[in-house]
Amino acid sequence: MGGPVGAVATVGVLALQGAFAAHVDLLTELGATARLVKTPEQLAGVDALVMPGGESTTMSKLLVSSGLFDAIDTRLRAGMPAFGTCAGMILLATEVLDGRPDQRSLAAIDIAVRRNGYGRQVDSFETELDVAGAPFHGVFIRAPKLERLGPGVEVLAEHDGVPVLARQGAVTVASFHPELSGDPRLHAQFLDHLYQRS
Amino acid sequence: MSVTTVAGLDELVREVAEKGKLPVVLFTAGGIATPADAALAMQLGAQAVFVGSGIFKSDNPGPRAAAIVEATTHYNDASILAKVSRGLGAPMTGIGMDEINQRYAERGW
Repeated sequence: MGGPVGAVATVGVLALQGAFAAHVDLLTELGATARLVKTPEQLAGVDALVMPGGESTTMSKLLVSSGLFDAIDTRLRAGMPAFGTCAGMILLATEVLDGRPDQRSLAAIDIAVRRNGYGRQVDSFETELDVAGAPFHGVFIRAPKLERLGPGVEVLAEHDGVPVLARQGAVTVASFHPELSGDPRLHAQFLDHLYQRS
Repeated sequence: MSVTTVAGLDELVREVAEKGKLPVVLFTAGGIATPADAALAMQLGAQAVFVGSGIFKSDNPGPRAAAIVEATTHYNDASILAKVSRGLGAPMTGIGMDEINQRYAERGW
């Protein structure tokens, strides 16, 4: 450590349920300090948060029972960068379609997301996406579909004319699982933004 | 005695030994009746826990199911485990040896 760039970013990975382990591996590989976040105390020590894939209604319940829902909400309002993939995108959305009535979301990015919007588990698929002119292998597992984007939301990649990667301010969301394709570019980009801000 | 070999098994065993984990998700199940059981399975390296009769054959299935989910998430946090383990009523009980009326030793497979 102690390189010329200054402090190493500490990135939290929400670890209540779901696909958090591969995010931790990738962030660590990229030189960041990755920390699992399961409690508000653990959230307090991180510069940014990755919200992984998993099952969004389960995560919603665990976010509320752990006290993390309000803690994350407060940090997001204060500008904490966040990267939500698959279920993580649902949790960050303004509006959730086909959700459970008691399901909560953080409204950190102005999008409407339909749960299981690409179909059931058997309809999961992999495809080549175009991200900033370069191919990126997209792994869509019972993926949520972006159905409405507010005017402040920037589309970074599409599949069949539907946005699958989008950003508003410090919040980036993906319908797919970028942590599973073995390609670290999206995580690297997330870290770059983080270093630029600090 | 014949030795059966499986192609690639040697390599797979080496990979597991090196990484200290399986190349697939490890789900665990069977006899899990308390939040502590679920936490123990997770502490031993499981990534997920399935519970069926441990919930449905308990006194109070709803709260017990919720507690087991919390214990699976917070398996390394003793204070949360202690908190969610309280007031759940009786868990599923095991079957005593003297209640088993069919013995494999006598019946055979």
